[in-house]
Amino acid sequence: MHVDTTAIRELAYALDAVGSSSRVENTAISDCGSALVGQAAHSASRWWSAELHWATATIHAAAAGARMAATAWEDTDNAITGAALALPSPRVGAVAR
Amino acid sequence: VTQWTETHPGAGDATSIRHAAMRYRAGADQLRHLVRALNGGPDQLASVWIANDSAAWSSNCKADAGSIARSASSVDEVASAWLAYAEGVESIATRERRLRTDPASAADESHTRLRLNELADERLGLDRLTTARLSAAMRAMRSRPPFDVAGLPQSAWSMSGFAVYAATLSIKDAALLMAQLSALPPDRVADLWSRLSHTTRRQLTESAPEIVGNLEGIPYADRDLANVSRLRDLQAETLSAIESSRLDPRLLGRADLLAALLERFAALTFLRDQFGDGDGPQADPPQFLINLDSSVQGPPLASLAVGDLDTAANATWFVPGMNSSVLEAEDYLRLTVNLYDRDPDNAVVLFLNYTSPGALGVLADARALDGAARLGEMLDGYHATREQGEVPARLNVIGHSYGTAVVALALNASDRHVNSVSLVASAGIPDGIDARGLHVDPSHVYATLAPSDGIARLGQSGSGRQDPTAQSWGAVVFGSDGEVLPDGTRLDPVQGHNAIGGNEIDDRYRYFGPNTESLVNIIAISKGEHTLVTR
Repeated sequence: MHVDTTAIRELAYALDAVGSSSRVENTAISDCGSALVGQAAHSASRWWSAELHWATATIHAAAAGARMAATAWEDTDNAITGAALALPSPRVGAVAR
Repeated sequence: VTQWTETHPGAGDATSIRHAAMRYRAGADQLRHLVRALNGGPDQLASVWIANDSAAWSSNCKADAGSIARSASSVDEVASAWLAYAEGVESIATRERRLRTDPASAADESHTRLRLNELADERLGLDRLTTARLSAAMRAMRSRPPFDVAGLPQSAWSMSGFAVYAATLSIKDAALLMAQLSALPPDRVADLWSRLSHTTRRQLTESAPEIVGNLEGIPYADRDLANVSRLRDLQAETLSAIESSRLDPRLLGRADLLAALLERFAALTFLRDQFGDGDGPQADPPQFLINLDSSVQGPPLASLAVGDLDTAANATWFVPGMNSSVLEAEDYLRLTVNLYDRDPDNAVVLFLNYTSPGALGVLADARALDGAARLGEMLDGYHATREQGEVPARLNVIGHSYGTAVVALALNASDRHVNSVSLVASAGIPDGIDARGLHVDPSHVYATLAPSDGIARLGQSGSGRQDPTAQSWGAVVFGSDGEVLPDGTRLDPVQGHNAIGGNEIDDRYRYFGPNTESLVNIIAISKGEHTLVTR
């Protein structure tokens, strides 16, 4: 399996940046001339705010997933390297004899 | 907010409404920007991150991108609704102004009132249309959790969010999540489980192996891992219960309880011998412990698969009859291997997941009804798991003796997407069910009864249940009394009632013994080779 954790981390950073750049614009209507439609305008505005919040949370979660995967791979890699260092290399063994 | 009236139907600020519409349009563009990022991510990493987890992560990103794209369309619809409303209000306001400045109208007050009433009606219609469009847009695309689990934080409502949420749970919270998932239908479980990383699946399995091992919709390899991980502790607990029961004065004279414990211990010992090393999936043929229910007294209920159900193109469930349990699994496993037919595309399940009756209970339907509910759940789960894997597979069900009643009740209750049914040595099918009531093509509903099998006939007459080999029942009757094939091959006749013998030598002349006409026919039926079936 091939894993370039730097590329994964860079993508996670890019995804987070895209998520953070999203902002809810004020969608209030100052006077629509109707109480009935005014109520619907208010609901639509609240819904839109929740929708963008959810969508940006989703992209941040995707970034977090990538970061977690990169960390897991680095941990595995470190564990393997650590285990390898703990073993005497053949050359060291030969010197000791 | 100004409220328009019959004398002022053009009230409202169309410019303000238009500005709001444009801000919604810009919002939809923002969402599409997120969609592009989520869709592009997996493509960008395709060459540098090649591992199982990357597939789950990519699939989550694409699924979330799809949801957000649908939200963007919805936001566009809101913008369009506002633009149309602005135009409508403007048009009504213009006509109202003209009416007021028209000298002819000033002279005819009743005409002016009539025209204003018409404009008011138009405004009322416009208001209603706009609120309906807005509600429909919001209703259609409101963000929802991917499944109905109480207490799930909103950040876990998306597929990516759910995967991250599940990965960061403590052991206790992971067990709680699994308990909640166990209430979902198998297709939802299959979908959600496929969204999780390999590591998260392992964590959830360790937190609640008794749930993962039995939860329909979870791949069989993961279920095997969960069930096998429980065997050592279950066996130790049983041994400890046996030892303490010998010292417990309250259990004096309760030989039945001690016998149940001893049987449980023997069954668990067999399962540990068979699966304990965890190498079952790598064995030849591969073996999986796909269900383990330790909630009953005596031997646990279990289902054993020979062959890989997650990949097999041809899956068969075998349901045995009276006195079957894990204690007889060694013999039944030979039967299962005979049915497996050494074909890597096959998988055969030995269904010991119901408490089969003894000689007395065999005449009543109670145990069959319980078994049918359990079998039905497993067949539905198989269907969901395979649908998730998008691999088409044939599904066959075989019942022997009392097991035929279990099969008939399970298939009668609902459409389980079964391709063929074989009812072997039936101890009787409950009243009200015939070949057309199994939700299977009746030309692929088969039955056989060997001439020398007196026990099956005794079961039918004693219980008053139906003989599926009777012409009126509607099954295709196949032979089990021996046959010489056109190429000269001699197939053995079946002698007696048993599905299999007590050892390999004793297996000969049993319904599922090697080289019997019965076994050869059942394998042909399971493979869909209907023209090869002998009568």
